[in-house]
Formats: sequence, C-alpha cells, structure tokens
Amino acid sequence: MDVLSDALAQVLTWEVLLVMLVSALYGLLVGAIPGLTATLAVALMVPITFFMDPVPAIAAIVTMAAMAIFAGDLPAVLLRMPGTPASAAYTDQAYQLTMRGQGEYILGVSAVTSAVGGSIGVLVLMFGAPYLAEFALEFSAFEYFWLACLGLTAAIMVGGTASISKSAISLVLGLLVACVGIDPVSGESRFTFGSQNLLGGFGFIPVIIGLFAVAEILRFCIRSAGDRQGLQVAQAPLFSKALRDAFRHKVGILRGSAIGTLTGALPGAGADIAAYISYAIARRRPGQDEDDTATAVRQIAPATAANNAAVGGSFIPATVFGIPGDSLTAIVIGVLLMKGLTPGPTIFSDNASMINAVFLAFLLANLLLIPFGFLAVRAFKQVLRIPQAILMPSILLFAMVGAYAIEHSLFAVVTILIFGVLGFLLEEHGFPLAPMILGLVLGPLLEETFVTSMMRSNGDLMAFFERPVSLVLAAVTLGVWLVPPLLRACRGRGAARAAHP
Amino acid sequence: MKLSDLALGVLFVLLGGAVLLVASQMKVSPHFQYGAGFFPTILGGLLTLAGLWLAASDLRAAAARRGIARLVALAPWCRDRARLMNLAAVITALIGFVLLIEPLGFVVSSLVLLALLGYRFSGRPLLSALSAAGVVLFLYLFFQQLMGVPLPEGFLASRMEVALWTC
Repeated sequence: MDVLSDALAQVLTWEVLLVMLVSALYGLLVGAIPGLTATLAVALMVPITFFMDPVPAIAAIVTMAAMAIFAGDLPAVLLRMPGTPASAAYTDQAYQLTMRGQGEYILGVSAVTSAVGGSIGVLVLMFGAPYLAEFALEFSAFEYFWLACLGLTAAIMVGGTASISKSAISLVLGLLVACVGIDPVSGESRFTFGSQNLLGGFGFIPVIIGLFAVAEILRFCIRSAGDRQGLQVAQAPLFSKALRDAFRHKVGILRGSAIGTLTGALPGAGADIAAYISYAIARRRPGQDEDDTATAVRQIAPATAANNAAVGGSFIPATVFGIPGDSLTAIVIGVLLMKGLTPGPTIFSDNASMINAVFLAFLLANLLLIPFGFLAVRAFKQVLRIPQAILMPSILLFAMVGAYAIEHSLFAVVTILIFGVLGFLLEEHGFPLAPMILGLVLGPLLEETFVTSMMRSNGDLMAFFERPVSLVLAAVTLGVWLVPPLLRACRGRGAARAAHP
Repeated sequence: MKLSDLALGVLFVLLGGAVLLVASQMKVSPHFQYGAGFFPTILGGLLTLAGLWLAASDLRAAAARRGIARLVALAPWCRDRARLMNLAAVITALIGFVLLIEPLGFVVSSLVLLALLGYRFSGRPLLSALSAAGVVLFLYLFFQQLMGVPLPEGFLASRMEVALWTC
C-alpha cells in the first residue's frame, strides 16, 4: 500500500494534473477530426513529452490515447467516418441511430462504457502485471527471443485486410531500419555508407513522425475535396438518459471489458479486434428490448467498453516483457526507453512507485472520459469547422520543429521527409505500417537475444527448445506459423475430394 | 503511380539481394563467432523470400483470371494536376525548411513556409498569414522559451548583436 500512496502523491501534483487536462483536450480534438488518427496525435506529442519528467510524460500519452480512442467514435457515429479502426465494428448500426436523431445519446452511452471498460482494463493491468512480472524474472535470452518472435508473428497475422506477405515485408523493413548504425553486439557500424549522421542510426521519434504525421499530410494532399460533409439531422441531447441506460447493461459491459482486456493483452491483437469480437458476441445473444434503440444500445455498449479495455490490456505485455502489441504501445515503449525506464519484469521492483503512478494516471484518464466525453460531443460541430487546409500545414511545421528540437540536427528533418514519403508509398500500395513500427522497436531485442543465445549454445539451434518455458513459447510461435497453412492445405484437399468423389 | 504486386515483389527481391550483398561485406570480428552481418543476412534472406511470395501470389491470381495486370498503373489522383502540385508543395516545404532554417533563422523561414503552404491549400491569404503567426509564436514560446531548445536565429542574430554593440 505504501507504493500506491507514494504513486498517488506523484500523480496528484499540479504539474501532472495540468498536463493531463491539456492532453485530454488535445486527444479529444485530434481524435474527433476525421482523417486524423490516435497514432498521429501521439507521434506529434512525443517531442513535447521528451522534455518532461517520466510520470507527466507517460501520463500525457495515456490520457491522450484514451481520449482519442473515444473521440474516434464521434465522426464514426455522427458522420459514418470511423476515425480509428477500433470504432469500425459498430459504425453502421450507430449511424442508423444518428439518422433518427439519437447519435448524441449513443455517444453518451459510449462515453460511460468507454470509461468503465478502460478502468477495468487498467485495474487488471495494475494488479495482474506484477504477478506476471515475478514469473518473467526467470526468463533468459531464449524466452525473450521467442516472445519477440511471437509478438512479431501476431503483428503479421492480424495486419487487418493486408495480405500476409505485405505485412511480412513491412516488418522486415522495420527490422532493417533498426539495424542501421552501430551493431549492439560487436560494435561495428552497419548500413551507414560512410555517413556520420547514420552512425547513431535513425532516430526513433523522427521515424514515427515521418511514418504517421508526414505520410498523413501527403495522403491529405491527394484526397478529394468532396469527402467531407456536415451533420444532417439535428441531435437530441440525452446525457442523463445515457448515463442511466448504460448501467442497465452492466452484464454486457462487464463481458465486453473482460474480452477487451484479454484480447488487448495478446501480443498483436488490439482495440479493433476486441471491439469486433465483443460486438459479434453481443449480436448473437437474444434479448427482450422494447424497441430498436434499446437493441442497438445492448449490442454496441459491450463493444465500446471492449475497445477501451483493450488499451489497458495491451500495456500488460508492453510493461512486463517490453513487447508492444500495436503501434501505440510501441511508441510508449520508445518513450519509456528514452526516459531511462527499461520495460521488463524488473520495472515493478526497481521503479514500483513510478510505474504505479503511470497506471493511476491512466485510471484517472479513464474516469475523466465521462465529463470530457460529454463535453466533446457538444463541441463536435465546432471542431468540424476548423479548416483542414490550415490545419495540415500547421501539423507539418509541428512535425519539422519537433523532430529538429529533439535531435538538434537538420538530419532529423531529412529523416521525417524520407520516412514520410516511404510511409505514404507503402500505404498507397496496401502495406500496413504497424508491423514496421513493431519491427523497429523489437529489432534490437530480437537481434541481441538471438545472437547471445546462439553464442551461449555454440550455434546449436536445439538449445532454443531446451528450457520448459521457452519450449512452450516456441511451440505456440511455431503453431501460429504452421497451423493456418496446414489447415488451408487440408481444406483444399477435402474440397478436391468432394469435387472428385 | 501504382505498381502491381508483381513489380513490387521483384523490387523487394532486388532490395533483399542488395541487403545480402552489403551484409556479406561486413567485417567479421575475430572475438565473436557472429559478426555484424549475421542478423542482416537473415533479414535480407527473409525479405527476398517475402518478395518472391508477393510476386508469386500475384502471378497465381493472374493465372486464375487469365491475364497479367499492368506492372505500373496510374492512380486516379496522378491525373489531377492540383493534387500533384499539393504533394510537391509539401515536399518542397520540407526541403525548404532544411535549407532555409539556418541562414534565415527559425522565425522567418517558418513564417514564410507556413503562410505560403496555407495559402496554397486554402486560397485565403489573411487567414493563412494569421494562423502562421499564431503557430510560429506558440512553437517559439514552447521550445525556445519554456523548454530551452536553441532554435536557429539566422541573420537576425547578427543584426541584433550589432544593435547591442552600438548601444
């Protein structure tokens, strides 16, 4: 309990609370603007957090992420334009309510369920992660190698609509970018081609600013002007009804939160998959509702709880093993490393009060979702009035100055240009960017654990399967690699046999 | 411009081959069994395989519909001059920032670039100029004054120094 009160004292300072307030407003604004994603919001914010102490810095990022994921529901529900993929599952059904003037009501329900789901996810993280960390203290390079492999495999498998080969290429490109600079094991320089600037490798922050902010601006340039539209149907403000109705569906919300936390904790599966699973389960369950609106609330509420719970869940592998599940946690790990906090099991013993302060700030951010969420719904019409033609150049200047300020060199600006164009071209051709970011963050860990394990075993690959935990992790990883193609082959043979009896 | 999966696959096979070549020329340290090129060699191999896979799946799809897709196709936005100009404007702004920030200083170069880019997108000169001034002021106050990051002062710096000297 000492640790918790200590952590609470670190959160309840004017500095942290003010930072959280500003980041909450910023997250709501960016999340609510169609076309700007939560990852872009974080990428632009990282240069600012770079100059803060660890607790306010991470508090700023988690507050912003929680708000931006909720705010992604605003354009999804009111304009049928999901701001984040996490809102895509229930966009159509929610938009039908908007057409009947009940969009603000369902968003009110969403704010409450997001807060509940998010809080449950964080509580599981706070009280579950230390136990997992105790177990993880026994891990050696072999186990970490398999964990990194598992995380990267999952990132490829759930790359969304992209083909597996494209996700794999994106991942290998990320791993290669991580190789540039000095080799951590032997100290030789690699892929620097005689350039002094490349000796230290590409800076992590300029790379993510390029991939997410500059690429997004380039995409804005080629989007057609007629894509945006205003609200057509007047909405009835029904926040008190939303608050009451959200608690009538507490069983569904609890189920959605549990599904969300578990899905988020799996490496590679994030908020969007959590929302899809819990929405699918809620739709299948029969229920007696008085009208269509009640049916819609019963089906949507668990999904909105699930996508916010998944954010907390995804921090479990990120803090315990240092293995991120998606781009957002990958960026958070990058920031933790910059602050000298290496994620891993020892973080819970060496920096217990600091990591708990981060968790408490995360919990507070989720509770703030209810008042701030209601406010954002009321202010959404004004947000739509901000001209994107002015906003996009301003984002570009933020990106350039942020990158320059962190690295103190113009090479950082060159880096955001290179990765902006690369990210734009890759996305235009259907390559997902999330595997690349995971490769970039996990590359050094993967190489170090692999090479040191190989040295320790004198090149004997069987050593990777000798320890019991590493054997289990290896079996799971290889299973994920081999089972889907085998199943496909069996099904193909079965179909062929059915066709030619 | 849009490349077909077949062309992209070939491109990544070539890139993988280049990585293998560069990795094979890296020094092998006498103290370690595995030199700096060990891990990049594996990655180069994986990239080549993934490129082959991408090309092969496109060829298989082409066989199914009896016809290879064009290797290079024009995306619809490539035919629209205004959008191409927008893309060029953003990239020019980035290059211009790198070239101009040291001679002109942060304040002048950012103001000019932001106002020009805003005008290019919105077509509203007053709004562009005012918003540029606001954003530059915010960035200057935050990074230079609050966080103590020295932003280049450019030609204004020498002028100010001269002014101080003469006083």
